[in-house]
Amino acid sequence: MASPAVFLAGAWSAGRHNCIPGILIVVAAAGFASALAFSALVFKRVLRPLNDMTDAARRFFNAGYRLDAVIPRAGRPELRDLAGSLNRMMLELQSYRAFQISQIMEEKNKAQALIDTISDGVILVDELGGIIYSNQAALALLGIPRVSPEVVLPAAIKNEVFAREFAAILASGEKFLRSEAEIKLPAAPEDGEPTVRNYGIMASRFFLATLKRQGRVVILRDITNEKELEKTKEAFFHMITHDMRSPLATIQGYAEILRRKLPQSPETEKYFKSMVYSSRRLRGMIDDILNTTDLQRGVMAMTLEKVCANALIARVAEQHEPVTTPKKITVSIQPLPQELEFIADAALMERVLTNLVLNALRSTPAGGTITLGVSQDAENVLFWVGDTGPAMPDDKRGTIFEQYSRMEKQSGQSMGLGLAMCKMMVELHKGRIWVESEAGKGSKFLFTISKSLKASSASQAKTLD
Amino acid sequence: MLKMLIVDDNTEFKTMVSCYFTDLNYTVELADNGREGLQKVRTFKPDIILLDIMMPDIGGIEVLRELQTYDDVSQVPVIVITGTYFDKNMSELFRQEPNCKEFLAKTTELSYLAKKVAALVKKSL
Repeated sequence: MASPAVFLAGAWSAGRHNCIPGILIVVAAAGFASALAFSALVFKRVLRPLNDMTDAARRFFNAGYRLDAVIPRAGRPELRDLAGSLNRMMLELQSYRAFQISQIMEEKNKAQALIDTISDGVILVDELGGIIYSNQAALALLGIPRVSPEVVLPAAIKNEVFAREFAAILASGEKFLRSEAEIKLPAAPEDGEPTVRNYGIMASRFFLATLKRQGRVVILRDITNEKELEKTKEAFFHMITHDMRSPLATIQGYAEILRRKLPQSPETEKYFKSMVYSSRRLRGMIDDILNTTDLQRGVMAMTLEKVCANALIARVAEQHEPVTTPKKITVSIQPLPQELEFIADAALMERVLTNLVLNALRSTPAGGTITLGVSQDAENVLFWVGDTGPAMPDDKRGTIFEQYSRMEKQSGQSMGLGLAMCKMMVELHKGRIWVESEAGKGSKFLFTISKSLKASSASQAKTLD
Repeated sequence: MLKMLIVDDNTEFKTMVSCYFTDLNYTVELADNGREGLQKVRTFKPDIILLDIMMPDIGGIEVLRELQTYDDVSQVPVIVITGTYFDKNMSELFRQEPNCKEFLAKTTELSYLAKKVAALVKKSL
């Protein structure tokens, strides 16, 4: 600022030259006054409007983007324009923000309405077990009266089965978890009977960006009705399968009677053999289904008795003659040098080997060979069924023993239950089953039976032959 | 000629088994229920009895125990044949009775049944 300097210069020169005429003093005073006036003008027209703008902007931010008072349009024209633009900007920001918030609120309300309406329990927990969000259904199921920071899962859960499940979920590092639990719900006051419901529990992990922490969404779904329906369907299927045995036995029986009554010829003998073979196959399928269901229900009872290994493979090998003869497939056996007796369920052993042979028959081309063999070591008896069919693809070797898996190439031919049943039955005999396959050499199915099994006393005592 | 008594309320099964064993030179007598079976057993004097479990009047297990009290038939071998599901616990129960020599499902193949019958008859002669 120039004016104080001019004033000082004036005063200094005035002190030095007393003889200087008064006119100079007047000039200096005028200069000082005009400097003062100029600075006042600068303050009023430039600095104040700028301060007003700063203050207004600060108030606007502090008020959460709410514009309480507009900036007065004052000062120089440029600054008046600037104030106008600022006002417009703040107004727009305010309305934009209001719009955003109402949209977010709407989204939140929609999500909340959805989550509260569905009957599944939905609960979001953080990694420490604190509840981030929960719908009423989940709170009611878990027996938590109200969500508060003190509520920590699984300790706050009343039902011990749910508490165990939540403890497992919180302890697990898996991204997705799925389990089922049978829950005894407390008696309703009006009818007084405690009810047992089945719940499907699905948990999936997510990342809480703002908290930089892992959380979990847990869904509790009542699957009691699905379970019951499934059980009914299964029972119905089981019953029908079971009832099929009796008419089949009648057909088999009369076929045998006819075979004895009719004058024999090579043709009739061939026909009868095919009839017997097919009815035995059907009977085998029915037994497989019934055995599998029993096993899954945990009611499978084995009749453990002495089985002759060599006799077993010989019996299974000769049964398939009606199919092997026309297909020109050779069935050979590789028995042990000495007879070996081991403890197993004879009927189940026969089913496992028969299924493996049927499987080999499907994949072996005409003129091929199927080999049944047996060997042993100290702990196990090892059986195998080899064929000269195409090699089994690597990726299929693990899955063929799963229920209802099929090989695509064998269009429509079921490998569904057979091999799955084999696996279950072998495992029931404390053994394992696997397949070895090499291009050009066919496939070889092998299974072991543990020698540690003990004969069930009653059935052993009363076995005739 | 060997004599066989079949005690069963299921006509279809009874007829089929009867045809089969008649053809194998057995003399076959049929009883529709437990009561009739217990009556016929005294006059017919069978060499072997095929007995069903589920019958409308007297069940298989009662017939089996009653037979043990008849002096002349207490040693006659009985094959219990069940049409209901082949329950292994049930089979253990029946096998406790001394005259029950075999416990088979009705769906057993006839040739297998014939083998069992022949073996039992031979033993008891």
